[in-house]
Amino acid sequence: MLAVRDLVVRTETGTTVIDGVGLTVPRGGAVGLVGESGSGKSVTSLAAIGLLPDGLLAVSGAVEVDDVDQLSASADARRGTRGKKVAMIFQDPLAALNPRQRIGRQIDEILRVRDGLGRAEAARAAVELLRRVDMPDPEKRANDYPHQLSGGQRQRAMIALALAGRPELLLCDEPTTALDVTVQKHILHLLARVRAESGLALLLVSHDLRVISHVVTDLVVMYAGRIAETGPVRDLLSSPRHPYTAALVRNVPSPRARVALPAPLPGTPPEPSDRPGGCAFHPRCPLARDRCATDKPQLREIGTGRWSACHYAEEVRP
Amino acid sequence: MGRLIAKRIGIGVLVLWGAVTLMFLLVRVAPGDPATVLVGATATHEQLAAVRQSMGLNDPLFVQYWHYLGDAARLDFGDSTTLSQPAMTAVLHETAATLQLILAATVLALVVGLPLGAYAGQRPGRFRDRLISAATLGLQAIPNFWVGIMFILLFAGTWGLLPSSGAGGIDHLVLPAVSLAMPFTAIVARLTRSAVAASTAEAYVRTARSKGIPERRVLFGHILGNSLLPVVTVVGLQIGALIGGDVVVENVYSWPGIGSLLVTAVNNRDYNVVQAAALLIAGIVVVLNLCVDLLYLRLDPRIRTGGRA
Repeated sequence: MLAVRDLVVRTETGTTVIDGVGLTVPRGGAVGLVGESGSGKSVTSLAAIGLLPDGLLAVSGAVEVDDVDQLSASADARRGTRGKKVAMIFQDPLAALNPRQRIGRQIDEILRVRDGLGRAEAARAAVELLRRVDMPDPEKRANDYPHQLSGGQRQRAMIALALAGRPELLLCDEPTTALDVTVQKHILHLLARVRAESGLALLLVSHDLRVISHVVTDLVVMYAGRIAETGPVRDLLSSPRHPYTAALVRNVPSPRARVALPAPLPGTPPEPSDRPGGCAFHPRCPLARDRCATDKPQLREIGTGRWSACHYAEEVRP
Repeated sequence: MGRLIAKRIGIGVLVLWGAVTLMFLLVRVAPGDPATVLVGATATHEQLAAVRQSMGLNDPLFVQYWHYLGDAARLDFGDSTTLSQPAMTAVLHETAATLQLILAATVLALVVGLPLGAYAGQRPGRFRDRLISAATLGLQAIPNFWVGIMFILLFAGTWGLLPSSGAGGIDHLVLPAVSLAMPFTAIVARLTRSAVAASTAEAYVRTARSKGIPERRVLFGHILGNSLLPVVTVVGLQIGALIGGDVVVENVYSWPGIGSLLVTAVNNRDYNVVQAAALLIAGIVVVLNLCVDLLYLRLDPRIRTGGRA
């Protein structure tokens, strides 16, 4: 469905933000992309739908949607893919919805413009979509403006908007970060249900391993613009093979353990402009040795479907 | 929403009351008293006393103020000392020409300024943006009266294309309207530019693009509407400045409007006409601002509907 290969994204001034990232989302699959902020996970997802912000440029690699490379495709072809094959929902639904347009009109715009539906027909379809995402009182909400909805309702509206074009892949950039914890759960359930109903593939971007580990089957862990580790979610959680993954997993609070949270990973991820040489993680890594400061580790297969970019992957303990 | 409108109208009435009060005070703190001004410095003592009595200047200030307010409410500012008709009648007679000029200038400024600013703001920092920004900065810096004189020299004098003064057909309107519109156009263009540049970076524009709709639809459906809000606000604030410019332009082109009348009245010390014109101009500003406020309500559903969140 989606295959990102060796993607390199740079700023206009030449700073490398994404440094050779590759990942695949199979048709109907659900992949999680995790990492701290600044790891490049959001940029990767924006590149996947061709909506990199001004000033960021995909300089090499490929973003294939159904085997068609989007980076080399014409602008019209890329636009044709957006909304129809690949749709996206964003972190802050209030900012992501047009404040001056009624919810229903924003949802059915793609139906009116790209499917040529009439106004009334499109409006009915919008209400149906709202019903599908469990929006209470969908006829009424379709006539509301974004500011009149609650945070959870806005994200439901955003999901309905993304589903309107009947996409095959839904990119979710921190879909629950701006929401209350109780609402987070509802939205995740909704995403899982929609996926089950329609065979939609999901790429779930989050800094929060706990939030997405229930919804996805595979994980891609990013650090400083590169992939640290990737593999089935169960394996990564139970036996991480990259010290960064291990640190993220340790930070997931267990619902049973009523003890103090573990100490967070010391230090902060580096800015793209001053990433350390060798393994970018080595200044924060408990396993780091001399080699790590000079020798950039490549992603290598360390088990069935499991890859790690650590020289000492075999020594990592959960 | 009804309450908001009522509040705006209330504020407008307060502004007019403030203007009337200010005029009352200014006439009374001017050197001499209104009677001296009316009958002139050569009048005899008896004449002055008679005028003072008839104007009620011997009453306490509060009583004078009360009568003045009543007269102002009836738009009665006495007779013009030079035109032999009531001051307000003289002013109202010129209002249509002034409104025509202001309206033409506003339409011109919006029709030219909005697309120009939107075009520049779509690609901030690029060549088209720099060119338009430099041009509008220049346009904003050139004073009205200089432009007026240059236009008369070139279009009326050298080329003989358009009449240099007076009112009449549409050809008479061109030069004054363009002169008046120039700085206003520049302001509208510069504001639209920055507003469009700002909304283009908004998350909802990214959402609109994620639908794969044509860029033209993204611009008209999502970017422009939201960019209009700050533009409308400043256009409202600029209306006062536009009328200031109108007084200059009317005089340069001998346009028979309130501006010309006002300057003539000041020169002739025809204070009744000056007061009537000042109140009418204040009235025009208040009404136009009210229109802008109503437009704002129309444009921003967050104000219109209130919010639960």
